[in-house]
Formats: sequence, structure tokens, C-alpha cells
Amino acid sequence: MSVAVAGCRMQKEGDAMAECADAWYHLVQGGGTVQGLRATRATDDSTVRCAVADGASLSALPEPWARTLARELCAVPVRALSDADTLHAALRTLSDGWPAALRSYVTGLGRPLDWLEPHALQHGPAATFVAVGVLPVPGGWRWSAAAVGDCCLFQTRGDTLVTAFPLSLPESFGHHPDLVRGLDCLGAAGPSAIRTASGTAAPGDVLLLASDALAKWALAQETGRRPAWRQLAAVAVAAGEQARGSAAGGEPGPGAGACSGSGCGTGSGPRSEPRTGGGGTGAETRAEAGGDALRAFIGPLRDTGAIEDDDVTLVAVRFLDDGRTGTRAGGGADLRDGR
Amino acid sequence: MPYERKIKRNQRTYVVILIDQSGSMETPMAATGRAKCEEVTDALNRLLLELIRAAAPTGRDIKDYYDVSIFGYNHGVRSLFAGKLAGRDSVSVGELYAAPAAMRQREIVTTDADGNEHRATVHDPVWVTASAMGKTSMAAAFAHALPLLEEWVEENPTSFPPIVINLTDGIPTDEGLHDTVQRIRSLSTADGQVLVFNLHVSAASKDTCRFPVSAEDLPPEGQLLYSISSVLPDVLREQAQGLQMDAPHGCRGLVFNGNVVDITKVLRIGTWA
Repeated sequence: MSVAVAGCRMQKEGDAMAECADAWYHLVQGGGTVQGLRATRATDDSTVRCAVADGASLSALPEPWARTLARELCAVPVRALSDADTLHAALRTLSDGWPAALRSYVTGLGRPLDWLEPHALQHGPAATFVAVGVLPVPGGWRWSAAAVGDCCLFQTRGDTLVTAFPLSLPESFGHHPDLVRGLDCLGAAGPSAIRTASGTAAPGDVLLLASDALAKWALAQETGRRPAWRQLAAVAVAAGEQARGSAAGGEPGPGAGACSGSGCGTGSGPRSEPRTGGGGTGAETRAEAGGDALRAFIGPLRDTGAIEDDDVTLVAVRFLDDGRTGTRAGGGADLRDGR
Repeated sequence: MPYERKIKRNQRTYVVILIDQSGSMETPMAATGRAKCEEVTDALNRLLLELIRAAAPTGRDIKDYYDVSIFGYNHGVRSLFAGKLAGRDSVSVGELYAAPAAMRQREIVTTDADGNEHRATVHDPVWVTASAMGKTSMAAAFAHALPLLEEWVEENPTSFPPIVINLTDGIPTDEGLHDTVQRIRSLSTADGQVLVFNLHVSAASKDTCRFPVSAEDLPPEGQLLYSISSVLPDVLREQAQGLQMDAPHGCRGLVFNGNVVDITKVLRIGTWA
């Protein structure tokens, strides 16, 4: 058994890709016996973390904040995703670092600030997120998720929705979601703004992570008895395939949103192999190649007004029964034997 | 559902602000001792800065999300933009950014986690200045805005509809207010009809009525303003609630006998700032 991660993102109509304030990131730890499998594939003894962050477009510097948030959420222990107080402490550490990051940004500009910039930058960045950690358990996997705001996670089985988190109805999406801010973190709400959930997954299941516009559309499809879960998983996988195809040498490398760092799935530490869908270098060019499948899917929905014109991110974490095994005692064999 | 379009570069909106500059606006507000017209002018300049910031959250690459008109009315109606923008009926946020009439310098001090102080000079822009004299030609002000609104909705048929905010401390001294506002409110984009909100400020700020659902408890001048105010759409009710203002379902976009804080909040609610 193995876990496969693929995803993609795209910007609002009329914006440049660099203005896309969505970011996603994933990290695979463990599974040291599968040197050939990189980035998007983890065997049944691996830990997988994945996060989607949606930078608030009216905040200052939402793009780097969303990237940082998604990356750091993949660095916290999986158990922190089920403990609001622990996760709050991690988020506060992140916020505490923002003033220094901002000073570096200003210094890096290498020019005096324009009159508007101090007014704008003093507001700091803000973002929503959903993050999930997946741990192997005998016969399957256990996932723990945390969210602030309206990025969503859906556990799906074919076209059946098993779990929707943290929102489960399209009308629950508002214009003022809770946010993680670069200044003041979660504000007066504190840990109460963090929602948590957990569940178990079996081969064939898919966890879909989506930023708000797509999540709202998907839930509207569900409540309208036109479930699109299988379709969404296919879009994410196709995006991953496109990104892999465009990676250097056509090697079986990372999917969309993962950079070309080698050994990504071979037990590296959480920060040693940075791989991000929100990245800004050569890795991004490859990563965004996967966006074509998403564009083909979202474009008609925007044209008909079925989906809000917003930045969109979609990530699929697929649980596969593909015969691949790691070193975990029992591992995937448990479930195969039991079928 | 109407009033759902997000405001963005290719789907802009239009904010028209009408400011009562009659002689009574010189009366000081009880809370601050400053003239009503000065408080309103400061709130307007802050609002314009906020609109620009919303269009350029990082302080650069201005996106022309908004067109803005600001008209003062007393014995006549005139655009309140000063400096290079003087005489312009409407301007984009990009033009506002490029041409403040003046800058007021201010020093801010922040302290980091290690206790180190960081000083920075901030320049507060000024686009409009205060004045107060004469009558209250409120109907004429709405009539002045009407052709601009007609033109704008024709050119931007799919955008979030324009919002007109009228700030006053009295009652119109001219005729035809109701009919003119009805014509304005009958204009629409695909996302809904033009919205008209009224903010009535008083020196004492007693018996303040915010976002009423009926005109029953209002005095006659309040009932007049109620009758020309639009129902607050859900998206702006949510904005109001985010600013700790109760805005029940079906309420009108009206604050009567409002105070200094109401001025800022209503401007922010009406413009999503």
C-alpha cells in the first residue's frame, strides 16, 4: 500500500501567477526502503503531511505568508494537528517571527519605502489553512487534521463523501473567516479558532484539500446530489501527471507543488527538503505545469458563474493498494491479507 | 443571489460619497469637541487611504478596484477633491494614490520582542479638506450623482453595484430628494441595484439608531432618510457585524444621530474597506 499526493493551484482571472495567494505543501517522512519513489509517493510505513493555505488578498504580503504557513504546518508533529493548544503555540512562534521577516523584506527592497507602503505593511499578512497528517496503522491509515478558516478537507470514497471538515455546507462560507495573522496570530479567539478532526482511511479513499472557492463549489455539488469527488481527484492526479511530465528528464519525480529535491520521500527531516506549491523559483515553473488540468476544469465553471473567481488550490492524498510495501511490521500486508 | 460579486480588477465598484457642508456642520461633536465637518473630513481621508490600501495590500501594484466620487453640498454641489484632482467628478484609486493634495508627517514607534524601539516616519495623505457654510442641497447632490451612476453601471454591467453614502446632519432644504433617490436606486448591474446608505450625525449623538428595520421610532427627518435608504445586503451586514455593529436581517443602511465612531464604521461598511 502507498499514499500518493498530487495537487495544483491557479490564480484569479486577470491576475499574474505570482499574485496567487494560495499555497500548498507536502512532506513525506520515513519509508526509507523505497529509494525509487520520490516526493509524491509514500509507502505504508511513511508519515505524510499536507497543507493548503489561502492568503487573504486584502492583507499585506499574503503570498509569502501562505507559503510559510503551509510549509511550517508540514513541519509540526502530526499529533499537534489534533491538539489546538499545541498548534496555537506553533502558530504563535510563526507570527512572532513575522516582524523580523518584514524587516528583511524591507531591507531587501534596497530602496526607500513609498508613502503607501508603511501604511500597507503595518497591517501584516493573514491566511486561512487546512493541514492534515497521515500515519500508518495496521490495515490502513489514521489522519488528523486542523483548520483555521474555510480551507477544507474532504475524505471521499469514490463519489461518496465520508467527512467534510471544517465546513460541510456551502452556505457556511462567509466573507470573514478566521485567519492566522502575521501580527497577533489568532487574536482574541486564540486556540478556539482552530478546528480539529480525525479519521481512518482505507485503500481507495482520497483526502481532498481545497481552498474556499473550490471547497464551496464541491459542497454545493454534494448538496445538489451531483457529487464531483471522483472528478476532483482525477483533476488533481492529472495535474500531478502533467507536472511530473514536465520535470527535468521526465523522471518519476514530484507532482505539482513539489519541487525537484531528490530523496523527498526517503526519511529526510521536515525542513531539509523544502518542497512547495507556492514556491517562487525554478521549482514553481515545473509545479505550475500541473495547473493546466485545473485550468481546464475551473475555466468553464468560472465562465458560467458556478464558482467564485478566486485563487484555487486542490490537493489529493490518495490511499493506494498497489502492492508497494515499506518496512513497517504488518504494513500493507495486513489489509491485503484481510481482503 | 445579488450582491455577491467580489470586487477586483476586472470587476470593480464605484463609491459615491455625498457630504453635507451646510453651516450646521460646524457644530462641535460632543465626544471630541471638534466640528462635525472636521471629523467627517478626517474620516474621509482615512477611508480613501483604506481603499487604496485594499487595492494595494502590500503598498505597490495598485489594482484599480474602485472608482470614487466625493461631492460636498451646501448652496451648491461640487467635487471635494483638491490638488491635481480638483474639479474631477470621479477618480480611480490609482489616481488617488498618485495625487494626494498634501501629506501630513507623523512618527510612529514600534517595539520588537527584544524591547528595541523602531522609529518610522509615516505620511498621512490628504485629499479633501473641511468647510461648512450655507444650506443643505441634498436633493441636488443626489441629482448630480445620478448621470455619473447611470454611465458607470452601463460601462460595468457585471460588477458589484455602486454604493452611494450620504453624510448629513440635517434635512434637505431643496425639493425632489425622494424621486431622485428612487431613480438612483432603480439603476442596477447584474449583481443588484445601486445601494444608497445614509449616515446622519448629531453633535450630542443621543438616541442613536443604527441599521433600523422600521422607521417607527424615528423622528420625521429620520423617517425621510429611512425611506431613501437601501436594505443592507447580507454581505454588508456581515461586514457590519465584523465591526461589532448589530445589523439584523432586513435592516436599512441608515444610522441616525450617529457619533464619530459611526462615521468611520459606516464608511468602512459601505465600501468594504
